[in-house]
Amino acid sequence: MMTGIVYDRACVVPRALRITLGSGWSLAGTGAVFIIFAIVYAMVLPATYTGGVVGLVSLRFLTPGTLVLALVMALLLALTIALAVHGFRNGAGAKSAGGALGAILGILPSLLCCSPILPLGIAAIAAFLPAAGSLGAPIQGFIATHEFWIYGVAIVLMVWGLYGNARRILSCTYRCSSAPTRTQREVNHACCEPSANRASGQEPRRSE
Amino acid sequence: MLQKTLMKLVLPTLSAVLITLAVAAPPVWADQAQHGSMAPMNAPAHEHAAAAPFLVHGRTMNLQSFKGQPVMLWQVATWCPSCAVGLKTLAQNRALIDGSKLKVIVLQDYENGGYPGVDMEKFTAENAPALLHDSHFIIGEDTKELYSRYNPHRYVDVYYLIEPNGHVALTASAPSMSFDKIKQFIQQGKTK
Repeated sequence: MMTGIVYDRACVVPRALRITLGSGWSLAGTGAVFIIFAIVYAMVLPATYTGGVVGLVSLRFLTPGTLVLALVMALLLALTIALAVHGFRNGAGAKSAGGALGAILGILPSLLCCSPILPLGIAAIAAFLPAAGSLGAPIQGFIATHEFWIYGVAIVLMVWGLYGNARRILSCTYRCSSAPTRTQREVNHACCEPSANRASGQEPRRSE
Repeated sequence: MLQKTLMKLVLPTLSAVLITLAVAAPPVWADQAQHGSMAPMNAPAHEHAAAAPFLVHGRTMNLQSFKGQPVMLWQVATWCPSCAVGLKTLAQNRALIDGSKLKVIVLQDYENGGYPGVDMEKFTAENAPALLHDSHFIIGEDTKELYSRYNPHRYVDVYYLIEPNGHVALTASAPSMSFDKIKQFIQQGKTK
């Protein structure tokens, strides 16, 4: 029973991706988005070593570990965007919170760790709240020494966003099938409702 | 419905804008770093470097005692990755520095910037052990006075290039990114 549920959930993302990346165009688009984000992350992540400087120059500090991290984050983000776009186009909507938070969290350590952004921001806050004046460096210290965990949380959030979007897409597809699984029953989205389908220009789907 | 749609649109748009900003804005900082104005809010460049004490192996020294020779005063935190890379950059360019009169004073931020970390000896030994025995390099710690005078905004990685006459020629950050400026400072004959 338990194994079935786990298996069912593990298959959600591959199934949704098979539907989403069915056409050559969507595959090419997702590939392009992946490449763009891979380049962005490859330039942003080494900023930890450059004092916040980002650009082609930061590629000099790209380590194998940082490169893998950049590729993983870019892949998760590209796939999430592909699922979200497919969801929007089919009236399923998109679950954006996890992916967006993960994407933002993924770039924060590199940009905030050793650059002047945080000290200057804290200095601005300290003009109104003097007690906050000494917080900048300790926050940077925390970020610098917990970078690994922050990236871990960012990846978990991105996976969560990917999974959420995949479930939305599958809920639309499978709700019309004869035997929905438990995971598919858990989600009940507007995409299969007549009003939503009318809004997205589609014919209402057959109800269960 | 409208609120839901807005929420669905706002988050992706916000994230896209943030990512775009993150990519678009930093080249400006990069440019600033190249020109040595990465940390312009500290003691302003082209002003006189004030006397301030610092500690080397528990012994008090004063910046004033280095007047007459070019000095690079660099304040770091030992948990800071860009400082570690900067130290390695200086070690890689040791020959150039050793061939000049430049004195590089590397000081740990007062109380390590407010976050715990290894001491300077260990930090240097881990990243650039050769510098521990180089007479052109002084490894020490900030006093509260020097820290508040030379790093009022508490940057974790900031350095000053001070001319023999005591003028601050440049304030910048991350030597790994701006070493060309240090090189220029050395080569301009200010250090000879």
